[in-house]
Amino acid sequence: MYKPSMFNVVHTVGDRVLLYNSLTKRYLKAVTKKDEVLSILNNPDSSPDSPVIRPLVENGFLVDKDENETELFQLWRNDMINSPELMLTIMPTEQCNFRCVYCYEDFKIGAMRPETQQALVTWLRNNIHRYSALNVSWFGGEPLVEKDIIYSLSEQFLSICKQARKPYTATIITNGSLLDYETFQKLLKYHVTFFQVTIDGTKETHDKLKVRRDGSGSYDAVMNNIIAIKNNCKSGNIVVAVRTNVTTDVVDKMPEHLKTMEELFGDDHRFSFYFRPVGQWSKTKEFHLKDKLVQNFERLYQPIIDANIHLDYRVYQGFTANQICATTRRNSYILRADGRIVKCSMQLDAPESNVGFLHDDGTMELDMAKIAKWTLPDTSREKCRTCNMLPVCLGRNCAAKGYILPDKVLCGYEGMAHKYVFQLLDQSGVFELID
Amino acid sequence: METVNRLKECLHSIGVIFEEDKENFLLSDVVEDSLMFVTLITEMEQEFEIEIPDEYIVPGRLASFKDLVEMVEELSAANE
Repeated sequence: MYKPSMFNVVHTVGDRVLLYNSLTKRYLKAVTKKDEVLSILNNPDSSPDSPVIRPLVENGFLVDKDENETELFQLWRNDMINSPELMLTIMPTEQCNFRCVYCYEDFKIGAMRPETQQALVTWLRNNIHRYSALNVSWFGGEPLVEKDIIYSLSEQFLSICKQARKPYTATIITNGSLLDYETFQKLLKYHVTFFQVTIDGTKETHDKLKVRRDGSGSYDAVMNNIIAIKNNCKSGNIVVAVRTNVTTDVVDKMPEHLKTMEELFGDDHRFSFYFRPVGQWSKTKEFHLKDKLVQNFERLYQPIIDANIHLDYRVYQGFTANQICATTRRNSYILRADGRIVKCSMQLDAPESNVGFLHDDGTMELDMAKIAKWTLPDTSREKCRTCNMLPVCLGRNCAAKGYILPDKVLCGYEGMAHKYVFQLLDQSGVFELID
Repeated sequence: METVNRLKECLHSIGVIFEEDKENFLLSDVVEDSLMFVTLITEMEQEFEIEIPDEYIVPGRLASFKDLVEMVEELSAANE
């Protein structure tokens, strides 16, 4: 009657088994019936009357014997890549008030010209009818260096979307130093509900990695700003995702960092935490952290798991559901401050990434042949075709790397570290107990 | 009545389609996805100058249009 889904990801951790289905994006766990669940997932006919069969079927871990999951996946993939939601990443400036040690950007381009801003508004007004919704991600440099541009464009985007009766949401990726409470309130007014800020460990480690242009540290300013948000904003409709870029120095101070975060934000689920290993993200700039890189995920994650503190890690759900970069989506574009349209924020100047231009008259010129290369999924690698995490990455977690390393299997951080990430999600109560 | 009309306008402005003459309806029937729901919460907060706390934005709590009306009136009264 049933067979196990080809997209089940199963981890046995201590006394429990954690289950994730990468197509349905559901999380289940079993403790007392752990062995029974594992047996059923191996052979569904082994315990046909087991009470765990029903939740496993309802959540897609067991599927009908005749179901063709490959076809289902292709349908889901097409819907996802060709989603009619317009996703614009807008760089109001490529300047930044920081010079983070690991940053890959070159800060050559300044603020977006008024002509480019007006062109964007004109283009949106003329084209919003093609899309089901608008999502804007404010990016940079440091986008808040030109917050007046954000306010001005947001005002106009809201007006256009209201007239066209389309939902509008926005996110911002910011170093947090300019996110004072007044600015935060204004961004909320302009529908920014997801804020990503970075705290690279303790003050000692953060101030060595996230330095201002004048070389001074930034920890106090950023912390003061996000504490002000926590203390003054009562809305539950925000997420502040706190990212920590991890070097060996940060790992060594991880217990202290986690304790501080727990004391300040442990009781507030709007603040969600995630961790990424620092990499040599720039291929052109000199890199001074080569001997500080964390060499494996266990070194990064185990101290966090072992700390078992009361912090929210649910932002990881976004990554375990979808490791596919937005570049892969058909209706996703990055608008640089000078009007160039690119697909990849990590490859801003690469010819392959430059897919178009926004002209001053409000017309957008796009190279469809280039766009096709970014949006077509890639399952040419044998390992990808049979992988249980295929719906998460579509075989091309990083489309840019796919250009440079076409034969390399690209799984993405959470694709490779899901054993650890699932434990953090379990600590955050994400896994539903089925026994 | 004013709250009802203003809430209906919030729904209209983000593209939610519903029957105007119905006094109540399930949000799951008209709000298409989480993106629309987030936008709706933001619209209501701006329109009524309220902050909607976490406990309202949990699955099942805001199930119907009447739930929205009740919540807005409750939070608006608390603000006065």
